[in-house]
Parts: sequence; C-alpha cells; structure tokens
Amino acid sequence: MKTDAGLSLRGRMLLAALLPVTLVAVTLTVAFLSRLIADLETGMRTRGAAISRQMATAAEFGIFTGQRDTLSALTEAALRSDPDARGTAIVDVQGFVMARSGDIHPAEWPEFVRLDGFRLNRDVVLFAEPVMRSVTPVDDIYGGSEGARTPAPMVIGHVVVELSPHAIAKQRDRLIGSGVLIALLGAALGGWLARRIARGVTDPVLEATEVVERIAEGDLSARVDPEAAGALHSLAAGINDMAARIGMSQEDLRARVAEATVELLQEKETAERATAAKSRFLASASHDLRQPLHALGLFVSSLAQSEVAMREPRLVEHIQSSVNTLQDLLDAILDISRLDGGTVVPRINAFPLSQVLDRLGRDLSPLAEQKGLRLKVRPTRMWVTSDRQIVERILLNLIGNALRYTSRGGVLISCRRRNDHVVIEVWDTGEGIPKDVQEDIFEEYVQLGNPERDRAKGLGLGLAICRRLANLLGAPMGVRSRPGRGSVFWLELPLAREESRGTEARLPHAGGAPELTRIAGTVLVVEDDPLVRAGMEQVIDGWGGKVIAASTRDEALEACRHGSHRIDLAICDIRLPGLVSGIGLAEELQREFGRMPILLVSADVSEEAQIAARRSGFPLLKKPVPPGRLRAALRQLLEVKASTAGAED
Amino acid sequence: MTYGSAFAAGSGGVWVALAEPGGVHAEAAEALKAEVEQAQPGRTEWRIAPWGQFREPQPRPQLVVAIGGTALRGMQDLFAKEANPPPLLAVLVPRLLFDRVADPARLKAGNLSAVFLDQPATRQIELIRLALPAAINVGVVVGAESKGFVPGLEKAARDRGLQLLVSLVGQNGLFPALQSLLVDADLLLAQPDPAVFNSQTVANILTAAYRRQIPMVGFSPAYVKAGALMALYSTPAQIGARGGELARAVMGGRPLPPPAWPREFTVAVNPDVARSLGLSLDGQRLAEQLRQKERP
Repeated sequence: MKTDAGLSLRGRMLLAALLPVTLVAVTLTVAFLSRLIADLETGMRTRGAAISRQMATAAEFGIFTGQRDTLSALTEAALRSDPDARGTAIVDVQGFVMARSGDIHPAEWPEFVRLDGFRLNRDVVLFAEPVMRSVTPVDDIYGGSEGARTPAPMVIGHVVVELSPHAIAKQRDRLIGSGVLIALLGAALGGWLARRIARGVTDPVLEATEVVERIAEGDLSARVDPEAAGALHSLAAGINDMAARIGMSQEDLRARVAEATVELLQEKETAERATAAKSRFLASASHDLRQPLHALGLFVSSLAQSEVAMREPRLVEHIQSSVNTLQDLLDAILDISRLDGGTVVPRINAFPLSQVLDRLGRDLSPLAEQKGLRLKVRPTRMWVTSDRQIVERILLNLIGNALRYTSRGGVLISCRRRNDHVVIEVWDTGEGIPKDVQEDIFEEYVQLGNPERDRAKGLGLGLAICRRLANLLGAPMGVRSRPGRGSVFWLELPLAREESRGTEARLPHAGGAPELTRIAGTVLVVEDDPLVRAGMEQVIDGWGGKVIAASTRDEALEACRHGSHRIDLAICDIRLPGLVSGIGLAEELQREFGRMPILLVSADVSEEAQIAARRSGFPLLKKPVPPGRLRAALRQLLEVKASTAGAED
Repeated sequence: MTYGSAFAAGSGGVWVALAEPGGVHAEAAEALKAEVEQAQPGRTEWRIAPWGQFREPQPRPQLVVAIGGTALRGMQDLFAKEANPPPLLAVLVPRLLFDRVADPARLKAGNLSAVFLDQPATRQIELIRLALPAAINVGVVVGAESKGFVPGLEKAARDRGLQLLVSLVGQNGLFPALQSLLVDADLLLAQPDPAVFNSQTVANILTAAYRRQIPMVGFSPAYVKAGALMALYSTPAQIGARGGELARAVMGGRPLPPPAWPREFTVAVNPDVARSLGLSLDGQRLAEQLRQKERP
C-alpha cells in the first residue's frame, strides 16, 4: 500500500518532469528535422534552378551560333558543378538535343516550360529553364521601323538539368537518425535529471508519510530527519513539531485519564462496598426476619387447627391474613433487592404461551369470581423465547393488578403477533390511568387511588418488579390507558423459532397430586432457631407426623444413631451453628443412613446459598415456608421413600 | 516672287504628316518648323498631325512634308489622283524605302524629294578610314533588302583603298553568314536591314564580333549603347532642320531639290568598347574631321 503510493507519487513526479522534457525534445527535434529536411530539398531545388538558369544564360550564344562544342562544354561543366547532377542537356526550340552530358532521359521529359524540381521519377528531379534570346533595343527608325519598339523575348531552346535525389535522401535519413538519437538522449538526460530532482522531493515526502503513519499508529517517537528532507525542510520540521505536540498532549491526557481512573476506581470500590454492605444487610435482615415469620406461620397454622380457632375463628383468620401480607411484603422487598443486585440470571427457553396463560387463568379465576369479574384468556398457539418463570411472574402481577383495580366488567388476556414478536396484552375495564402518571406507576410504592395505603390493595411494588423483570429479559413493556374506560398493560416477547421449540422442558404438571392433610412417619428437624424448631414440631405433629428435633449436627447424628425411632426424613436448615452447613450434614446423613430423604430449608436468600443447594441435589424450601407447601413436600418425599423402599423389599 | 506672294497671301499652308505621333517624328517636325519659323517667323500656316488625319486634299497646302516612311506613302496616296499635286518632301525616310515607295513620275517631275535617314556610303567608309586607319577589310552582312547598299559601299571602299567583304544571309541563317565574314573582316559595318539587324540579333552579332575582337560600326545611337564601337547617324533634329531648309526654299519659290543624304550628322563612340579594343576615339572630333573632308 505504502509502496504503491510511493511508486505512484514517484511515477507522477517523474511523469510531470519527463513529459514536458520529452515533448520539448520531440517537438524541437521534429521542428529542426523538418526544417533541415526542407532546407535540404530547398537547397537542391535552388541548386538545380541556379545551375539551369546559369546554363540558360550561358547557352544563349551557343544556341544562337549553333556551336555544339561550346554547348557540350557547358553541359559538361554544369554536370561537374554539382555532385547531385546526373545529367544535363541543352535542346533547341524544336526539342532537338544540341548537347548532353551524363545520363538523361529525354523520352520521359514533359513539355518544356520552366521546371523547378519536377519529380520525373524516383531517381530524377528535373529542372528546365528556357533559353531566351536576349533583346537589345535597336529597333528604331534607323533600323527600319517607324517607332522604337522592344520585341517580346524569344525562346530559342531549353536547358535541362537532371538531379539525383538520392544524396539528399541519404542525408535526410542521416539527419532523422541523428535527430532521433539526440531526442532520445535529451529525453534520457531529462528523465535522469527529473528522476534525481523528483527523488529530492519524493524521498522526503515518502519518509514524512511513513513517519505520519507511524505517528497515526501511535509511535509518537517517530521523527523525520530534517537534514535529509532537503527542500522540504519546513515540512519535516512541522511534522516533528506536530508529533512532539501530539506526544505532549497525549501524555497529558494519559495522566488525566489515569487520575480519573484512580478516582473512578475508588468511587467504584466505595459503591461496591456500599452495595455489598447493603446486600449483606438485606440478606441478614431478611434471614433474621424470615426465621420468626416462618415460625409465626407455622404457629398460626397449628392455631387454625386447634380448638381456639373454633372459638375465635375470625381472630385466627385475621392473624393468618396479617402473616400472609407480611410474607408477601418481605418477598417483594427481597425480590427487588435481588433484581437490583443483579444476581438474577434469566434462563431463556422456548415455551408455548398457552401453558403460562392457561395456568394463570386457572389460578386467578377464583379471585375474579370472588370480585364478580369475568377473566378471559384468549387461546393462542404461539411460542416465545424467554424465561418462563419470569414471564409468569410478570403476567401474574399484571393480571393480579388488573383484577385488583377493576370493580366491574372483566379482564381479558390476548396475544398479538407483531413481526417476529408477540405482544401479550392484559385488558381491564378499570378506572384507567391518566396520561401524566402512566410512567410513574412503574416506580416503587406508587399506587393510584390508594392514598391511605390499604395493604389489601397491594404494596405498590408489583409494577416496579414487573419493570425490573422485563428489563432483565430485555422485553419492552408498557401501558396505554383512557381514564374511565380501562387500561391495557402489554409485554412484548420474541417469537420462538420453530426449531427451538423442541427444547422446551416439560414441567410436571403441578397440582396433580391429591391434597391429603395427613402424613405418616418420623421426621428429624435440624434447626438451631428454637422458635422455628418449636413451630415445625407443632405443625408436623398436627399433621400426624412424629418429630425428633435437633439443634446441632451432633445432636442430629446422635438422634439418628441412637434414637428410639427410625428416622424417615430429615429437614435441615442450611445454616447451622459451627462450621458445618446444612448441606454438609445432609450429605453426611445420606452417606451414613442410606437413602434418607432430606428437605433443605433456608432463610438465606443469597444466590450462593441457592446455587449450593441446587448443586447438592436436595430439594430446598425457602423460609418462611407456607405450611401447605411444607406438608406437600414432606408427603412427596415420604411417598418416594416408601415406594423405593417397597421396590427394594 | 510670285510664289512668295502667293505664300504670303496665305494661299496655302504647310502640312507636316507624321508617321507616328510624337517621338522622333515630332522631334524632326519641330526642328523643321523651327528652321522655317526662324527665317520667316509667323508667315507659315502649319498643320502638323499624324498622317492619318489628313483625309481631304482641300484646302490645298503649298507644301506637304511627310516625316517617316508611312507618312510618305500616305501623303503620296492622298494626292495620287491629282494631276498637279503640291510638292511633297519626305524626311526621315531610309533610302531603300524611299526608292521602293516613291512615285517615279513625281520624282521625275521634281514634285517629290527627300532627306534620307541613312548615311551615304562615302561618309561611312571615310569615317572608318579616319577612326580605324589600320582596317582594310570592311565586312558587311546584308539581307535581301540591304543588298542594295553593296554597290555604293564597294565603290566607296575601293576609292579609298579598302576592301569590302560582303556576306549575304541565306537559308542557313544569320550566324553562318556572320561567321564566314568574321574570319577575314577587320571590322563589321552594319547596314539598316530589319531582317539582319534587329533587337534579337544584335546582342549575339555583337558577341560573335567581340569574341574575335572585331569592332562593329552601327547606324544608330542604340548600337553604341548595345556595344558597337561607334555609330554614324543624323539625329531627327538634324534631319528635320535640313528638311526645314528645303521647305523654306520651296516656300521661297524654288523648286524641290533632288533627294539627298542628310547634311548634318553625328558620330557616337562607346568609350568602354573603344577602351576594350585598345582604341581612343572622340566622336565629335571624328564628326568634325568627317565634315571637313566633305567640304568642297
């Protein structure tokens, strides 16, 4: 590239210098040559004409006197007078040749007039000059005429000279040869000079170009040698100056960037420390909050089954409701903190929308019926590529909100295809949302029409979570609404391609197992929190199970090894006192006691804890565990154990 | 006196008929008139015009002067039918022409006369003797017309001890005649004959003569200019003046004299040619010597 540019620059310089030189050389040569050749020919014509005129003058008396000797001497002299003369002759007025010398071609002669260089043939250039009888004015009265008169000159013969053009042709060829040689030499010399001069310019330019390229590539130490730059000294100096300035300013910039980077790093570290502290605080706080809440739930559950509930059913119901709200609130806050913490990674899969929508419709129909609203899901066969659980949560929130803020009419869920996307829309016939606050509702704790913050109307965190979840998926989401007519919340998801549909993981259909209220078996509860331990004991006992409680690993192992009862199942809290984690204990128990089913429970909502639990392969329930779910999990694990035990037996 | 009275009474003027308007003819006419007027101023009624303008012979002139050959012919013809035509004086007419044209009857009656243009043979030969005393053989080239000069020249030469060599231009052309003559001649004496001597031949004749170192004697100033050694001639004025003398005599009542050679003459010399030939000649002195010889 550089070489090409260099060559073309050099070539162009050379051309610019050589072209005029060559043109001048060629033009001059051609001009001089044609001039010289013309001169040669003119010279021959002049010589021929001169010879013939001279002869004509001299021949008059010879013709008049008829002296052939004189005329022959004349033709002979004329023949010798010019090397190109090949023949001369004198003819009388009748055309009769009176004298001749050399080689002449009378047969080819044209009719005589004055001929100056008539080309007779390839070898002969013919000159002819009439011989005039000289007139001496003597015709007057003495001579016999009445008046003086001068008669017209009379032609008495012709002189013919034949010249050979060969000599001048040879001379012309020699001239052309030397002319071409001179032109070539001139052009070559001009070219050589041009090349030398051009190099004086192109070399520094090329060097400067190279240096500029090196500077462009970042080599700021590159410099042009100003001594070598010759005529382009100032250019070289300018480039060097420029390079130095660029270097200086870049150094300055670098220093400033480094300074700023250090500051940024410090700030980032501060921010990260703050975020970490916040996360730690949130994790700890939620853990500490979950433990009592978990216990509270378990207690209320047992309370509902006790005799007290018979006496004060409404009181128990209110307690139950408060506990539920408290749990929802805690979950929502934790969700937000997790989403903000960036610890949630969506798992993208292709799945049929109908699966999600049908289930949501089924699950939320009772709520709608309770409020006297119609909930309709328009059937769809479209598949989307997204995180199924996140989509489900977003839609649950949106439909839940729609049902919550609609007092009459209904809610419609429909899907429309837009190019390669699906827009899922949740229509309601609620109050609608004024244009100016349509964006605000996605902020935390913004609720319309709930200035008194009635918790039954929700916490105001739903749409904030939805927006965060949608952002996580990179899915556009929004609302359009006309106050008094209703609102449409929409979520746009990418349409799944045909080939990706097969990968959809079919989930076992939940709710297929019959809900039984009772369980049978001995359950080991390893829990360091005495309140939670007591709650667990009480609720499992209420369901008909036998509970053996342990607060530490050692107690748990002791109970298994030497206890009076055979342990059917162990519930381990992930966080246990000492260095041993619940997962470690679970693994220990399984190693020692064969296939003992283990259920992990945890108030630790951190991602690490969940990942560790998933990796261990044990089922995990998060605190606070709703009693229903706990019971279902226990039943399932015990049934599996029973069936495998049966198979083994 | 009767003639003179008649003349004085204006019974007739003088017609001067010119062969050509202007030129030598007018010059001669002027000289003639001047000669007459000098002697008898204002007494003559002149009518000078080209001869073609004289159509009617009336009113009769006392004297008709024809200047040039054609004028002579024209005037002779104009009065041809008259039994008693006015006297006719021809001036500036070559002798051979006059001999050919002149009406013999009128000539005989003394009614016609002339002053010739050319020179008498004796004068020519005498000049040669004076100018070129060493020359013996006088060569002349003559044609059919100029043959007529030969007897007179021969006689004049013989009388003065010179030899006239004559060469006649025949069928072979001028040059052979000239060449044969130039072998022996000491000089070449040209005679007026347009067939032999003309503008186109003179240069070569002179060249041929010069190559043999033979001088040529011409008969007009043009020959001197062209390269002849000398020429003997009478100028138009000299001839015109002689014509005037004769006209005066006629008007004075005398009869016309017989045709005669011009009395006055000029000798012109080309000094360059003379020098080339190693001669030293003076035209005026020669003319003077010649005149003295001619004086009785």
